[in-house]
Amino acid sequence: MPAFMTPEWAEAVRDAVNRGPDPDYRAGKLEEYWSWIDNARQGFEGSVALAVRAGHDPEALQDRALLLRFSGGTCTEAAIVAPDAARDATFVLAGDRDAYVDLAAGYEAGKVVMYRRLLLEQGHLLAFFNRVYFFVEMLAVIGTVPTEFPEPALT
Amino acid sequence: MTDTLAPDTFRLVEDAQLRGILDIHIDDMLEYVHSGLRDLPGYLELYDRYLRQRWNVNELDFTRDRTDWTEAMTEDERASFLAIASGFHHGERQVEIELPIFMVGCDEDHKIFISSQIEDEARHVVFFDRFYREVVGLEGDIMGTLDASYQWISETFVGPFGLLAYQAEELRRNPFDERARVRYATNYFLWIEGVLALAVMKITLGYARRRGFLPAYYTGFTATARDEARHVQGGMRFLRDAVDRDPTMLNEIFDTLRTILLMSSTTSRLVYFEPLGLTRDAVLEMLITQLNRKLVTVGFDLPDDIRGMVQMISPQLAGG
Repeated sequence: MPAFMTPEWAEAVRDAVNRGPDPDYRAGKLEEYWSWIDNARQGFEGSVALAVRAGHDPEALQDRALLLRFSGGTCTEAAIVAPDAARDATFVLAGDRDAYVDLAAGYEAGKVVMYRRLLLEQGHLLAFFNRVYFFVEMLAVIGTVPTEFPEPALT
Repeated sequence: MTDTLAPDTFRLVEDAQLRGILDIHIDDMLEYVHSGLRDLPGYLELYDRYLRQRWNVNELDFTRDRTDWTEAMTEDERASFLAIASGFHHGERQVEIELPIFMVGCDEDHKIFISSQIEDEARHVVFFDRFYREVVGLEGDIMGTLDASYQWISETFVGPFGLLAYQAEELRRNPFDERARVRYATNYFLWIEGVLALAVMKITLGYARRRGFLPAYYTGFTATARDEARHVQGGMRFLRDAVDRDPTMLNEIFDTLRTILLMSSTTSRLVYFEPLGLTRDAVLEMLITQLNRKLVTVGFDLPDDIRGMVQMISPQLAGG
Protein backbone atom coordinates (compact mmCIF):
# COMPACT_ATOMS: atom_id res chain seq x y z
CA MET A 1 0.00 0.00 0.00
CA PRO A 2 1.58 3.33 -1.03
CA ALA A 3 2.36 5.79 1.70
CA PHE A 4 0.54 9.12 1.84
CA MET A 5 2.16 11.91 -0.16
CA THR A 6 4.48 9.65 -2.13
CA PRO A 7 4.76 9.47 -5.94
CA GLU A 8 3.18 5.98 -5.89
CA TRP A 9 0.17 7.28 -3.99
CA ALA A 10 -0.07 10.30 -6.31
CA GLU A 11 -0.20 8.03 -9.34
CA ALA A 12 -2.87 5.89 -7.71
CA VAL A 13 -4.84 9.06 -7.01
CA ARG A 14 -4.56 10.14 -10.66
CA ASP A 15 -5.90 6.76 -11.82
CA ALA A 16 -8.77 6.88 -9.34
CA VAL A 17 -9.71 10.46 -10.21
CA ASN A 18 -9.78 9.61 -13.91
CA ARG A 19 -11.78 6.44 -13.25
CA GLY A 20 -14.30 8.34 -11.10
CA PRO A 21 -16.59 6.94 -8.44
CA ASP A 22 -17.58 3.29 -8.54
CA PRO A 23 -20.93 2.45 -10.17
CA ASP A 24 -22.74 1.67 -6.92
CA TYR A 25 -21.76 5.02 -5.42
CA ARG A 26 -22.67 6.80 -8.65
CA ALA A 27 -26.06 5.10 -8.80
CA GLY A 28 -26.93 6.52 -5.40
CA LYS A 29 -27.13 10.05 -6.77
CA LEU A 30 -29.13 11.60 -9.58
CA GLU A 31 -27.72 11.58 -13.11
CA GLU A 32 -28.26 15.35 -13.36
CA TYR A 33 -25.81 15.76 -10.48
CA TRP A 34 -23.14 13.76 -12.32
CA SER A 35 -23.84 15.71 -15.52
CA TRP A 36 -23.22 18.93 -13.62
CA ILE A 37 -19.94 17.49 -12.36
CA ASP A 38 -18.94 16.29 -15.82
CA ASN A 39 -19.51 19.79 -17.20
CA ALA A 40 -17.48 21.33 -14.40
CA ARG A 41 -14.69 18.83 -14.96
CA GLN A 42 -14.60 19.29 -18.74
CA GLY A 43 -14.31 23.03 -18.36
CA PHE A 44 -11.54 22.99 -15.79
CA GLU A 45 -8.13 23.80 -17.24
CA GLY A 46 -6.03 24.20 -14.14
CA SER A 47 -4.62 22.51 -11.10
CA VAL A 48 -5.52 21.62 -7.55
CA ALA A 49 -2.99 21.16 -4.77
CA LEU A 50 -3.75 19.28 -1.59
CA ALA A 51 -1.40 20.35 1.18
CA VAL A 52 -0.91 19.29 4.76
CA ARG A 53 -0.89 22.10 7.25
CA ALA A 54 1.67 22.06 10.02
CA GLY A 55 -0.14 23.19 13.14
CA HIS A 56 -2.67 26.03 13.09
CA ASP A 57 -0.63 28.49 11.04
CA PRO A 58 -2.26 28.60 7.58
CA GLU A 59 1.03 29.75 6.10
CA ALA A 60 2.93 26.77 7.46
CA LEU A 61 2.55 23.87 5.07
CA GLN A 62 4.45 20.64 5.49
CA ASP A 63 7.20 19.74 3.10
CA ARG A 64 5.11 17.86 0.54
CA ALA A 65 1.83 18.44 -1.29
CA LEU A 66 -0.14 16.64 -3.98
CA LEU A 67 -0.50 18.60 -7.21
CA LEU A 68 -3.16 17.48 -9.72
CA ARG A 69 -3.28 19.10 -13.16
CA PHE A 70 -6.45 18.88 -15.30
CA SER A 71 -6.98 19.40 -18.99
CA GLY A 72 -9.83 18.38 -21.25
CA GLY A 73 -11.63 16.65 -18.41
CA THR A 74 -8.67 14.44 -17.53
CA CYS A 75 -6.20 14.53 -14.69
CA THR A 76 -3.06 14.71 -16.79
CA GLU A 77 -0.48 14.88 -14.04
CA ALA A 78 -0.21 13.97 -10.39
CA ALA A 79 2.97 14.92 -8.60
CA ILE A 80 4.29 15.35 -5.11
CA VAL A 81 5.73 18.83 -4.89
CA ALA A 82 7.25 21.24 -2.41
CA PRO A 83 4.95 23.85 -0.80
CA ASP A 84 6.27 26.64 -3.00
CA ALA A 85 5.37 24.71 -6.12
CA ALA A 86 1.95 23.87 -4.66
CA ARG A 87 1.25 27.57 -4.33
CA ASP A 88 1.37 27.86 -8.11
CA ALA A 89 -1.80 25.78 -8.35
CA THR A 90 -5.13 27.30 -9.37
CA PHE A 91 -6.58 26.17 -6.05
CA VAL A 92 -4.73 25.09 -2.92
CA LEU A 93 -6.65 23.15 -0.30
CA ALA A 94 -4.93 22.51 3.00
CA GLY A 95 -5.81 20.70 6.18
CA ASP A 96 -4.09 19.00 9.03
CA ARG A 97 -2.99 15.38 8.88
CA ASP A 98 -6.12 14.21 10.73
CA ALA A 99 -8.35 15.59 7.99
CA TYR A 100 -6.69 13.32 5.44
CA VAL A 101 -6.70 10.36 7.84
CA ASP A 102 -10.43 10.81 8.41
CA LEU A 103 -11.11 11.24 4.68
CA ALA A 104 -9.32 7.94 4.01
CA ALA A 105 -11.39 6.33 6.77
CA GLY A 106 -14.63 7.25 5.02
CA TYR A 107 -15.46 10.62 6.56
CA GLU A 108 -17.83 12.42 4.17
CA ALA A 109 -16.04 14.75 1.76
CA GLY A 110 -18.86 17.29 2.04
CA LYS A 111 -18.25 17.57 5.76
CA VAL A 112 -14.53 17.96 5.16
CA VAL A 113 -15.37 21.18 3.31
CA MET A 114 -18.36 22.32 5.36
CA TYR A 115 -16.64 21.79 8.69
CA ARG A 116 -13.48 23.49 7.40
CA ARG A 117 -11.29 20.42 7.80
CA LEU A 118 -9.79 21.42 4.44
CA LEU A 119 -9.60 25.11 3.66
CA LEU A 120 -9.07 26.99 0.44
CA GLU A 121 -5.66 28.49 1.15
CA GLN A 122 -5.31 29.96 -2.30
CA GLY A 123 -7.50 30.54 -5.32
CA HIS A 124 -10.61 32.50 -6.27
CA LEU A 125 -13.36 31.53 -3.86
CA LEU A 126 -16.34 31.90 -6.17
CA ALA A 127 -14.49 30.19 -9.03
CA PHE A 128 -13.84 27.23 -6.73
CA PHE A 129 -17.52 26.99 -5.85
CA ASN A 130 -18.51 27.25 -9.50
CA ARG A 131 -17.15 23.68 -9.70
CA VAL A 132 -17.62 22.69 -6.05
CA TYR A 133 -19.35 19.32 -6.51
CA PHE A 134 -16.57 18.22 -8.88
CA PHE A 135 -13.96 19.05 -6.24
CA VAL A 136 -15.93 17.47 -3.40
CA GLU A 137 -16.51 14.24 -5.32
CA MET A 138 -12.84 14.28 -6.28
CA LEU A 139 -11.97 14.39 -2.58
CA ALA A 140 -14.36 11.50 -1.97
CA VAL A 141 -12.58 9.47 -4.67
CA ILE A 142 -9.16 10.35 -3.24
CA GLY A 143 -10.41 9.10 0.12
CA THR A 144 -10.98 5.67 -1.42
CA VAL A 145 -7.36 5.28 -2.57
CA PRO A 146 -5.63 2.95 -0.09
CA THR A 147 -2.76 4.62 1.68
CA GLU A 148 -0.69 4.41 4.82
CA PHE A 149 -0.07 7.42 7.00
CA PRO A 150 3.39 7.54 8.54
CA GLU A 151 3.33 8.45 12.21
CA PRO A 152 3.77 12.19 12.66
CA ALA A 153 7.24 13.26 13.67
CA LEU A 154 7.65 14.28 17.29
CA THR A 155 8.35 17.94 17.75
CA MET B 1 -46.09 50.17 9.19
CA THR B 2 -47.03 47.37 6.83
CA ASP B 3 -47.61 47.03 3.11
CA THR B 4 -48.60 43.38 2.88
CA LEU B 5 -50.49 42.42 6.04
CA ALA B 6 -53.69 43.83 7.52
CA PRO B 7 -52.79 45.94 10.59
CA ASP B 8 -54.48 43.61 13.07
CA THR B 9 -52.72 40.57 11.58
CA PHE B 10 -49.42 42.42 11.65
CA ARG B 11 -49.84 43.17 15.36
CA LEU B 12 -50.83 39.57 16.06
CA VAL B 13 -47.67 38.29 14.39
CA GLU B 14 -45.48 41.01 15.84
CA ASP B 15 -46.61 40.63 19.45
CA ALA B 16 -47.48 36.94 19.86
CA GLN B 17 -45.86 35.13 22.75
CA LEU B 18 -44.73 31.55 22.22
CA ARG B 19 -48.08 29.94 23.10
CA GLY B 20 -49.92 32.25 20.70
CA ILE B 21 -47.65 31.36 17.77
CA LEU B 22 -49.65 28.19 17.19
CA ASP B 23 -52.57 30.35 16.03
CA ILE B 24 -50.55 32.20 13.37
CA HIS B 25 -50.75 30.95 9.79
CA ILE B 26 -47.33 30.39 8.22
CA ASP B 27 -48.38 32.45 5.17
CA ASP B 28 -48.98 35.45 7.43
CA MET B 29 -45.58 34.90 9.02
CA LEU B 30 -43.89 34.84 5.61
CA GLU B 31 -45.67 38.06 4.64
CA TYR B 32 -44.47 39.56 7.90
CA VAL B 33 -40.89 39.03 6.73
CA HIS B 34 -41.51 41.26 3.73
CA SER B 35 -43.48 43.88 5.64
CA GLY B 36 -40.30 45.57 6.83
CA LEU B 37 -38.23 45.33 3.70
CA ARG B 38 -39.25 48.51 1.92
CA ASP B 39 -38.39 50.77 4.88
CA LEU B 40 -35.67 48.64 6.39
CA PRO B 41 -35.52 49.12 10.17
CA GLY B 42 -32.33 50.15 11.93
CA TYR B 43 -30.22 47.64 13.79
CA LEU B 44 -31.19 48.87 17.26
CA GLU B 45 -34.88 48.74 16.29
CA LEU B 46 -34.36 45.15 15.21
CA TYR B 47 -32.57 44.46 18.48
CA ASP B 48 -35.55 45.88 20.38
CA ARG B 49 -37.83 43.51 18.46
CA TYR B 50 -35.51 40.66 19.40
CA LEU B 51 -35.91 41.50 23.08
CA ARG B 52 -39.70 41.42 22.72
CA GLN B 53 -39.92 38.37 20.45
CA ARG B 54 -37.32 35.96 21.80
CA TRP B 55 -38.72 32.68 23.04
CA ASN B 56 -37.63 29.90 25.31
CA VAL B 57 -36.97 26.72 23.37
CA ASN B 58 -37.24 24.71 26.56
CA GLU B 59 -40.88 25.72 27.03
CA LEU B 60 -41.89 23.54 24.08
CA ASP B 61 -43.46 20.18 24.90
CA PHE B 62 -42.87 17.62 22.13
CA THR B 63 -44.99 14.85 23.73
CA ARG B 64 -47.89 15.20 21.26
CA ASP B 65 -45.42 15.55 18.35
CA ARG B 66 -43.87 12.20 19.24
CA THR B 67 -47.28 10.56 19.14
CA ASP B 68 -48.09 12.18 15.77
CA TRP B 69 -44.70 11.09 14.38
CA THR B 70 -44.96 7.48 15.44
CA GLU B 71 -48.70 6.84 15.18
CA ALA B 72 -50.36 9.31 12.80
CA MET B 73 -47.86 10.13 10.06
CA THR B 74 -47.26 7.69 7.23
CA GLU B 75 -43.83 6.35 6.31
CA ASP B 76 -43.84 8.45 3.11
CA GLU B 77 -44.70 11.57 5.08
CA ARG B 78 -41.91 10.94 7.58
CA ALA B 79 -39.39 10.28 4.78
CA SER B 80 -40.28 13.50 2.95
CA PHE B 81 -40.33 15.45 6.20
CA LEU B 82 -36.84 14.27 7.15
CA ALA B 83 -35.46 15.00 3.67
CA ILE B 84 -36.57 18.59 4.13
CA ALA B 85 -36.17 19.27 7.86
CA SER B 86 -32.65 17.81 8.02
CA GLY B 87 -31.36 20.60 5.79
CA PHE B 88 -32.51 22.97 8.53
CA HIS B 89 -31.05 20.85 11.30
CA HIS B 90 -27.62 21.26 9.70
CA GLY B 91 -28.27 24.69 8.23
CA GLU B 92 -29.04 26.25 11.59
CA ARG B 93 -25.84 24.84 13.04
CA GLN B 94 -23.78 26.15 10.14
CA VAL B 95 -25.18 29.69 10.26
CA GLU B 96 -24.71 29.77 14.04
CA ILE B 97 -21.01 28.98 13.88
CA GLU B 98 -20.22 31.10 10.80
CA LEU B 99 -21.86 34.33 12.01
CA PRO B 100 -19.57 35.53 14.84
CA ILE B 101 -16.70 36.33 12.47
CA PHE B 102 -18.97 38.61 10.42
CA MET B 103 -19.69 40.63 13.58
CA VAL B 104 -16.04 41.65 13.90
CA GLY B 105 -16.29 44.02 10.93
CA CYS B 106 -19.69 45.52 11.85
CA ASP B 107 -20.25 49.00 13.24
CA GLU B 108 -21.40 49.22 16.85
CA ASP B 109 -25.18 49.20 16.33
CA HIS B 110 -24.87 46.33 13.93
CA LYS B 111 -22.69 44.38 16.39
CA ILE B 112 -25.44 44.57 19.01
CA PHE B 113 -28.02 43.23 16.57
CA ILE B 114 -25.73 40.48 15.28
CA SER B 115 -25.09 39.34 18.84
CA SER B 116 -28.84 38.76 19.18
CA GLN B 117 -28.91 36.92 15.88
CA ILE B 118 -26.15 34.60 17.07
CA GLU B 119 -28.29 33.77 20.11
CA ASP B 120 -31.29 33.17 17.83
CA GLU B 121 -29.30 30.76 15.68
CA ALA B 122 -28.05 28.87 18.74
CA ARG B 123 -31.65 28.55 19.95
CA HIS B 124 -32.71 27.22 16.55
CA VAL B 125 -29.97 24.59 16.77
CA VAL B 126 -31.31 23.50 20.14
CA PHE B 127 -34.86 23.48 18.75
CA PHE B 128 -33.91 21.06 15.99
CA ASP B 129 -31.77 19.02 18.34
CA ARG B 130 -34.77 18.57 20.62
CA PHE B 131 -37.03 17.69 17.69
CA TYR B 132 -34.64 15.06 16.33
CA ARG B 133 -34.00 13.65 19.79
CA GLU B 134 -37.50 13.73 21.29
CA VAL B 135 -39.66 13.21 18.21
CA VAL B 136 -37.59 11.41 15.56
CA GLY B 137 -35.74 9.40 18.21
CA LEU B 138 -32.09 10.09 17.40
CA GLU B 139 -29.55 9.80 20.17
CA GLY B 140 -26.29 11.47 21.11
CA ASP B 141 -25.05 14.93 21.97
CA ILE B 142 -25.56 17.95 19.69
CA MET B 143 -23.00 16.73 17.14
CA GLY B 144 -24.23 13.17 17.57
CA THR B 145 -27.75 14.02 16.40
CA LEU B 146 -26.28 16.10 13.57
CA ASP B 147 -24.12 13.19 12.45
CA ALA B 148 -27.14 10.89 12.64
CA SER B 149 -29.33 13.16 10.49
CA TYR B 150 -26.61 13.83 7.91
CA GLN B 151 -27.79 10.78 5.97
CA TRP B 152 -30.94 12.67 4.96
CA ILE B 153 -29.41 15.80 3.52
CA SER B 154 -28.53 16.21 -0.13
CA GLU B 155 -24.90 16.26 -1.27
CA THR B 156 -25.58 19.67 -2.82
CA PHE B 157 -26.02 21.08 0.69
CA VAL B 158 -22.25 21.69 0.59
CA GLY B 159 -22.86 24.30 -2.14
CA PRO B 160 -24.28 27.24 -0.17
CA PHE B 161 -23.08 26.04 3.23
CA GLY B 162 -19.56 25.12 2.13
CA LEU B 163 -19.40 28.51 0.45
CA LEU B 164 -20.52 30.12 3.70
CA ALA B 165 -17.81 28.28 5.66
CA TYR B 166 -15.11 29.38 3.24
CA GLN B 167 -16.48 32.93 3.12
CA ALA B 168 -16.30 33.02 6.93
CA GLU B 169 -12.70 31.85 6.69
CA GLU B 170 -12.03 34.62 4.17
CA LEU B 171 -13.42 37.13 6.69
CA ARG B 172 -11.42 35.60 9.52
CA ARG B 173 -8.30 36.52 7.59
CA ASN B 174 -9.53 40.03 6.80
CA PRO B 175 -12.65 40.94 8.78
CA PHE B 176 -12.87 44.47 7.35
CA ASP B 177 -12.79 43.53 3.66
CA GLU B 178 -16.05 45.21 2.67
CA ARG B 179 -16.33 43.39 -0.64
CA ALA B 180 -15.89 40.01 1.04
CA ARG B 181 -18.48 41.04 3.64
CA VAL B 182 -20.98 41.87 0.90
CA ARG B 183 -20.37 38.50 -0.78
CA TYR B 184 -20.81 36.75 2.57
CA ALA B 185 -24.02 38.68 3.29
CA THR B 186 -25.40 37.83 -0.14
CA ASN B 187 -25.02 34.14 0.57
CA TYR B 188 -26.06 34.18 4.24
CA PHE B 189 -28.77 36.79 4.56
CA LEU B 190 -30.18 36.98 1.03
CA TRP B 191 -29.88 33.40 -0.23
CA ILE B 192 -29.74 31.03 2.76
CA GLU B 193 -32.09 32.96 5.05
CA GLY B 194 -34.09 35.06 2.65
CA VAL B 195 -34.71 32.51 -0.08
CA LEU B 196 -33.97 28.93 0.98
CA ALA B 197 -35.14 29.12 4.57
CA LEU B 198 -38.32 31.05 4.04
CA ALA B 199 -39.44 29.03 1.03
CA VAL B 200 -38.68 25.66 2.57
CA MET B 201 -40.19 26.56 5.95
CA LYS B 202 -43.54 26.74 4.26
CA ILE B 203 -43.38 23.09 3.21
CA THR B 204 -43.17 21.40 6.60
CA LEU B 205 -45.12 24.10 8.43
CA GLY B 206 -47.91 24.11 5.84
CA TYR B 207 -48.11 20.33 6.13
CA ALA B 208 -48.20 20.38 9.94
CA ARG B 209 -50.93 23.01 9.93
CA ARG B 210 -53.10 21.30 7.31
CA ARG B 211 -52.92 17.95 9.07
CA GLY B 212 -53.05 19.32 12.59
CA PHE B 213 -49.84 17.46 13.44
CA LEU B 214 -46.66 18.33 15.34
CA PRO B 215 -47.88 21.33 17.39
CA ALA B 216 -44.57 21.95 19.17
CA TYR B 217 -42.67 21.78 15.87
CA TYR B 218 -45.16 24.19 14.31
CA THR B 219 -44.87 26.57 17.25
CA GLY B 220 -41.08 26.54 17.46
CA PHE B 221 -40.43 26.67 13.74
CA THR B 222 -42.99 29.43 13.14
CA ALA B 223 -41.31 31.39 15.94
CA THR B 224 -38.07 30.67 14.09
CA ALA B 225 -39.60 32.19 10.94
CA ARG B 226 -40.34 35.35 12.90
CA ASP B 227 -36.71 35.43 14.01
CA GLU B 228 -35.71 35.04 10.36
CA ALA B 229 -37.75 38.17 9.55
CA ARG B 230 -35.36 40.21 11.70
CA HIS B 231 -32.33 38.50 10.22
CA VAL B 232 -33.42 39.02 6.62
CA GLN B 233 -34.36 42.64 7.25
CA GLY B 234 -31.03 43.29 8.99
CA GLY B 235 -29.14 41.53 6.21
CA MET B 236 -30.95 43.37 3.44
CA ARG B 237 -30.29 46.65 5.26
CA PHE B 238 -26.59 45.82 5.30
CA LEU B 239 -26.60 45.06 1.57
CA ARG B 240 -28.63 48.11 0.63
CA ASP B 241 -26.43 50.40 2.73
CA ALA B 242 -23.31 48.88 1.17
CA VAL B 243 -24.66 49.54 -2.33
CA ASP B 244 -25.76 53.07 -1.37
CA ARG B 245 -22.21 53.83 -0.21
CA ASP B 246 -20.58 52.19 -3.21
CA PRO B 247 -22.77 51.18 -6.17
CA THR B 248 -20.03 48.87 -7.49
CA MET B 249 -20.91 46.56 -4.58
CA LEU B 250 -23.78 45.39 -6.75
CA ASN B 251 -21.14 43.53 -8.77
CA GLU B 252 -20.20 41.54 -5.64
CA ILE B 253 -23.86 40.69 -5.01
CA PHE B 254 -24.40 39.63 -8.61
CA ASP B 255 -21.16 37.62 -8.87
CA THR B 256 -22.08 35.77 -5.68
CA LEU B 257 -25.58 35.13 -6.98
CA ARG B 258 -24.16 33.72 -10.22
CA THR B 259 -22.14 31.17 -8.25
CA ILE B 260 -25.07 30.35 -5.97
CA LEU B 261 -27.45 29.90 -8.88
CA LEU B 262 -24.95 27.75 -10.76
CA MET B 263 -24.59 25.52 -7.69
CA SER B 264 -28.37 25.51 -7.36
CA SER B 265 -28.95 24.32 -10.91
CA THR B 266 -28.69 20.69 -9.84
CA THR B 267 -29.53 18.40 -6.99
CA SER B 268 -28.19 14.99 -6.08
CA ARG B 269 -31.35 13.45 -4.65
CA LEU B 270 -34.96 13.31 -5.66
CA VAL B 271 -37.20 14.50 -2.86
CA TYR B 272 -40.90 13.75 -2.95
CA PHE B 273 -42.87 16.78 -1.87
CA GLU B 274 -46.25 15.24 -2.64
CA PRO B 275 -46.63 13.42 0.72
CA LEU B 276 -46.44 16.86 2.32
CA GLY B 277 -48.97 18.33 -0.10
CA LEU B 278 -46.74 20.18 -2.56
CA THR B 279 -45.13 19.59 -5.94
CA ARG B 280 -41.55 20.23 -7.05
CA ASP B 281 -42.80 22.96 -9.40
CA ALA B 282 -44.62 24.70 -6.56
CA VAL B 283 -41.46 24.63 -4.42
CA LEU B 284 -39.42 26.05 -7.28
CA GLU B 285 -41.96 28.81 -7.73
CA MET B 286 -41.67 29.65 -4.02
CA LEU B 287 -37.88 29.89 -4.24
CA ILE B 288 -38.01 32.16 -7.26
CA THR B 289 -40.71 34.32 -5.70
CA GLN B 290 -38.76 34.69 -2.47
CA LEU B 291 -35.63 35.80 -4.34
CA ASN B 292 -37.44 38.25 -6.60
CA ARG B 293 -39.39 39.82 -3.76
CA LYS B 294 -36.25 40.51 -1.75
CA LEU B 295 -34.40 42.05 -4.67
CA VAL B 296 -37.30 44.10 -5.99
CA THR B 297 -38.23 45.40 -2.57
CA VAL B 298 -34.77 46.78 -1.84
CA GLY B 299 -34.39 48.06 -5.39
CA PHE B 300 -31.78 45.69 -6.88
CA ASP B 301 -32.46 45.09 -10.57
CA LEU B 302 -31.10 41.74 -11.74
CA PRO B 303 -29.06 41.54 -14.97
CA ASP B 304 -30.58 39.40 -17.72
CA ASP B 305 -28.11 36.53 -17.35
CA ILE B 306 -29.01 36.12 -13.67
CA ARG B 307 -32.71 36.26 -14.47
CA GLY B 308 -32.12 33.34 -16.82
CA MET B 309 -30.20 31.42 -14.16
CA VAL B 310 -33.01 31.92 -11.65
CA GLN B 311 -35.33 29.97 -13.93
CA MET B 312 -32.91 27.01 -13.92
CA ILE B 313 -32.65 26.40 -10.18
CA SER B 314 -33.43 23.10 -8.55
CA PRO B 315 -34.95 22.98 -5.05
CA GLN B 316 -32.23 23.04 -2.39
CA LEU B 317 -33.92 21.89 0.78
CA ALA B 318 -32.09 23.67 3.49
CA GLY B 319 -32.06 26.87 5.45
CA GLY B 320 -30.60 28.53 8.45
